[in-house]
Amino acid sequence: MFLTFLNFASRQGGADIQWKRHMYKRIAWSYYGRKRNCFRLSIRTIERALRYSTNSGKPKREYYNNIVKIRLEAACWEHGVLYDEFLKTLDESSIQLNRTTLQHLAIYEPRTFQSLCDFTVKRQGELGLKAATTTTPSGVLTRGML
Amino acid sequence: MAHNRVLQWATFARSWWIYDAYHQCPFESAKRLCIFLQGQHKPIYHPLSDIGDHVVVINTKDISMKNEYWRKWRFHHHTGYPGGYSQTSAWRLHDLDDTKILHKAVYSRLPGNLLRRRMMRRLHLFPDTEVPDDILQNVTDQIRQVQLIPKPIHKYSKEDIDNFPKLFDWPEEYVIDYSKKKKDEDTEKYF
Amino acid sequence: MAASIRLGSCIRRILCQKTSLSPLNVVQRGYRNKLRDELVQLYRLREEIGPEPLRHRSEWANWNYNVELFAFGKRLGEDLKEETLRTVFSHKCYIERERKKREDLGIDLQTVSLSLEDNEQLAEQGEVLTSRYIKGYLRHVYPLFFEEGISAVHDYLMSEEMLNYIGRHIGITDLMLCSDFPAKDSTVVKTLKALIGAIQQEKDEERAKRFIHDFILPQLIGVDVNETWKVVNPMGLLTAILNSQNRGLPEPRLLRQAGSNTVMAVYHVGIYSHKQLIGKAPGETISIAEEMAARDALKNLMKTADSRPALLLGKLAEDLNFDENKTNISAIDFIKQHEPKQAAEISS
Repeated sequence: MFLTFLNFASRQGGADIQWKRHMYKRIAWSYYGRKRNCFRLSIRTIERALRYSTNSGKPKREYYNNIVKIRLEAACWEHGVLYDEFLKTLDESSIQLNRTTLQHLAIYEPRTFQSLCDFTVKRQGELGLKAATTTTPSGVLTRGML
Repeated sequence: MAHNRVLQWATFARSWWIYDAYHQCPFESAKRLCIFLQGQHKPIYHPLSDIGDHVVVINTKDISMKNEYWRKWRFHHHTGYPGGYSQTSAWRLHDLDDTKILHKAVYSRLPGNLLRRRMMRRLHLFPDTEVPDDILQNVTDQIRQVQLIPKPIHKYSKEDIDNFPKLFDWPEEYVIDYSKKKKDEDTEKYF
Repeated sequence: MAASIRLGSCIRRILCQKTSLSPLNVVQRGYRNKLRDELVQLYRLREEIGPEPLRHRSEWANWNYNVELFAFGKRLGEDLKEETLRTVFSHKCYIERERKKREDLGIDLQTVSLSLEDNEQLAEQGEVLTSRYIKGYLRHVYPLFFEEGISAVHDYLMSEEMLNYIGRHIGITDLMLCSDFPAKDSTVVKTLKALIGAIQQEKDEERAKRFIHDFILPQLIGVDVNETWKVVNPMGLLTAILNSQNRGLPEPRLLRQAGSNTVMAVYHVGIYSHKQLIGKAPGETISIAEEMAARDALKNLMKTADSRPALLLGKLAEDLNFDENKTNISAIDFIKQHEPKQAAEISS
């Protein structure tokens, strides 16, 4: 049986191969060497790059979270507060600000951040056994309100 | 004109810190100094931006090391040529250069990127308290030491030692200081 | 393995080939075979024809001016009459052009009259009201700010750039009847002013003021009012203010410094009056820091510091009553009045 026509038919109906490869060229335009122009070579690099970009989601998040942590530690250190204590106190007092917001406050609104630190110091003075001996602080914040 | 411009200037200005390395562990000190050299003590920190401060370290010749570290801690060096590897013990390196141990400790602690050399140039090490005036005039603040300086027994006065509470007295024949031991003629004759 | 997959895909392609053209465009995943050809063709066509000319919105078939006018009024929450809105948008140049067009066509203007008024008078009315209200409002919220500063902020809000920005964003560009296209900035500004004038004329002044309050004044959010006014001699003004309040003369003191032997030196200078810190600022040199500290002290004394309360806008300003005729003190007059005697002698 003459089956060669099947081959011809498939080639005629196939997608424009260059058009399909154009999608990959859009990624490979910035590569160096033959992997920029030769499809066989570029497809390997592209696939690896796409795999990397998928897998790098978690390390990227960790990297940025670490920067935020360092910044907040620095900002707390400037006002004599410990980072862990600071976050714990804010959480216990229902001041619902996440770490990203807090670092923005520390950079762009340092006075607001300072007031949060002052609050932490005041709040920590009210906790524990020592609180029984101290007097109620004067001002807006009192032990009953918190 | 603008008031905001000077606020920006103040935010990114480099301040100068002084650190006394007297009786301090070089590795623990390096950990603390790196924070200031990298700018990790500022809320605007970013690993790629060059916002670290200057640190002036004095008394590097009086650093201390725990246990047997002076003898056993080794610094490695390779010239890059075949057979160019060498090892030096800490006491020997310290003997050659008073500031080298702290320099190496900080250098190895900093991240290995292109900013490292620049950060190292902002670390000013001095073996004693003699610091040039043009550097000392820049200094704004000091960095807290990493460990308490121990007070040796000979620094305490006799009054303090006598007043220290005691549970019992040692018997007379118990030797505490060998140099003050009384000579016993009975035993001496055998030597 | 690979060969079998290739063979399988070949057969699938043959089997799935479209036998007849469907009238519906079926959404498919994958690559459109002819898309490249189509795009190339379109690209070449575009190259032949050239770029699309800029056309007024009214040139499209679905343009209905009456409906757009009605929608515009509703969008702003102002129920203005259609004739009023028409007047707001008709410019003098447009009416003249129309008249000339009719004359050229030989139409008698007396029998078929052009029932359009231009917005000149409304714009004038709107501008006066806007200017008066903005100044009054600023004097009310910044009572200690000097008159020069108030004027500077007022000029900022009333500038062509700002009003043009507001006008274009509430969508008056397409509705304007004017001879210039694309619309000039000045025409947009005039239309906006005429709109305010029309609200004042048809409704009442209060309504027009609410409009200014809701559309123009919010542009002050995020603007540093101190930066708009350039104080030439801050220390002189500060001395005059302190002298008028019978406080001690300003004494600059160096608070702290860093890297003073380097190029990146920074100095913090504080200004004291009767041993009380009234302002502080950093600077590259001591003299710059001193000047900036004087500016900071001025900000604190004029109550326009960064920690000032938020502007009265929106619901907060509903029952706002203030005397529009009241004016603040002018800085020049103030300095003349309250300059310390010794300084006056030296300057004279």
